[in-house]
Amino acid sequence: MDDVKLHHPVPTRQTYLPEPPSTPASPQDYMRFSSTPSQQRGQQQYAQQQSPPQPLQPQHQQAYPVPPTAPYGYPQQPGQPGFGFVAPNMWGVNDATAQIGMQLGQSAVHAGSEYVKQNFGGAIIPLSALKHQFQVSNSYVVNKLRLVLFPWRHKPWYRKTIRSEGGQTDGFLAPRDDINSPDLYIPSMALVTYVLLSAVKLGLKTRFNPRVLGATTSSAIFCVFFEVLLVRLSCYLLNIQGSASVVDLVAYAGYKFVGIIATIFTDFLTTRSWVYWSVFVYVFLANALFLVRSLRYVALPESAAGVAQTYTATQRSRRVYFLFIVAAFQLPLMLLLVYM
Amino acid sequence: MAQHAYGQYYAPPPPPPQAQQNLQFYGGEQAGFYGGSVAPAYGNMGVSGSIQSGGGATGAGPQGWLAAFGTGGFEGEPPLLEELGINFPHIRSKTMTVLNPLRTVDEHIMDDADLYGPLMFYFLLGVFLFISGKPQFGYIYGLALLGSTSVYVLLNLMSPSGIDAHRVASVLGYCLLPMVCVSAVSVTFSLDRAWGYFLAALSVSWCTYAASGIFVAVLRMTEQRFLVAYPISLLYSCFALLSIFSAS
Repeated sequence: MDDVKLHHPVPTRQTYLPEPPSTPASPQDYMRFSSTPSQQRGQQQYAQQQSPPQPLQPQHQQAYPVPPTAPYGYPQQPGQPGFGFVAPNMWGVNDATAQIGMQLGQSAVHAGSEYVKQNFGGAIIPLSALKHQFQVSNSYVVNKLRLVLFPWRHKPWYRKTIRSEGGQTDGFLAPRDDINSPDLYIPSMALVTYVLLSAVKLGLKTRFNPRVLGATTSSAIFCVFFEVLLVRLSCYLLNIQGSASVVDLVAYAGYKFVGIIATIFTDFLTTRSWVYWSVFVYVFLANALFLVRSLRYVALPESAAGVAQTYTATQRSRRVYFLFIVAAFQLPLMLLLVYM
Repeated sequence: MAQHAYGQYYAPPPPPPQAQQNLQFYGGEQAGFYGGSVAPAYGNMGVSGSIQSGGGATGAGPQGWLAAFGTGGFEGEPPLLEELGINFPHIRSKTMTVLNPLRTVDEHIMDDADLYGPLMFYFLLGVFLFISGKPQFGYIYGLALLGSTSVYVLLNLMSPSGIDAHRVASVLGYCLLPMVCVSAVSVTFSLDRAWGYFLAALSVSWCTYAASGIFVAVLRMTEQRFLVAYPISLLYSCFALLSIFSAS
């Protein structure tokens, strides 16, 4: 096959020109993506030539009319549809247009998956953030439980940040390294334990039904969801920049279940109601203090040295009110949960 | 499950050769099961045309339909239990090994994660509870599914290396046997009294000890054993709740 005689537009990319098969061995031989008209017409000739049976091929090649693209119609050897430009390989994608089409398809799929991952993968279930919340250790769990129930004497409440070489903050430390970091292990375990304990309480009163497990779980999850919604709404209304992520807020909302478990335990141990109510009040106060101290760094971000405060005095007072309202709001929620 | 069983037959199983006991389904010899000729024919299950192709591959030809619906079967066809991958002696030995509280845990003990044993145990639990007056099959299956999924998610989030869902479900199901025994007791005696609570608590701790030991060995999270054990104990406590308290 001699390329010099062919007067066809030079393809813009170097393509490998193999020996074309005499019979179409792959369905791609009949598939043609649209490209320049000359190539297309040539491809149509090629495709049409494949449909008649093999022995008639040389005659058909000569019988076709000669369009301006005829120069490629001239066979150099019998038995070969002598198209000098790109021809498909056996099952391969050596056709330039097919390659372009494939790459277009691949980039389209890639763009689609990137879009989904950016918009929905991070929003619905932020997996990396979730994994970060579950890096806990035994000592962290014990100390955190102690902190939730007795937050009075704890001194530094800010979360430690990861500092890279340039001094930039690169995110917060994992819970196992920082006692002040919220985690999701304790709240989720506390929620399930709360559901089980309330089921046991009902069972001891011979009012147990397996249905109550699902009902209690749903209402507890709804309480958490409702509180997170309110806090986020308040953050938006108060224009708090860089408010805590949803995962952190879910964690903070879940710590109250620890106190509620303690309350239900006292219900098992004693029958006197004043013991029960005093434990409940204490747990409420402890949870309120814990939340106020922890969320303080969310609502009132500390300004670094030399950076102006991002909020005014009135905003600051509003945010302080917001913190106390959040703390006070725990009371009806906890009452609701205890009574279920 | 059948696909997984075929993976056992036609490819070397993943566990390393230094497993203490040969707990693989049907041992290590694969090639000599029923000759190589039938192997490709049974590669795909449940396809309508496979019967014909299976008949053709064995050289039985047009007798495919007849062989499928008759009692003769194809040439070299394995017995049904073997084909499905249900191996009762293996299930029994794995159960005994898993539940022995005095053993040292080998991390490859559950490498072939078969689900027939666990399925049998859940069904047995449901049957015992049914006999004792608590028809709660749906709750048991739902709890098993939800619990396996939750433990799978939790373990994958907590551990540096992951674990696959089949193994999680298999481990959780095999370690359910003490709970099945407690439910067997509940057939004759009501567990809603002090010694019943104690017995249930004991069985929950036994189940949890066995399951958490396997998970900790597989995931190499030795210093976090309590963190792994607590959610599993919550799951088995749910089952205990279903066994103890009858619906009012």
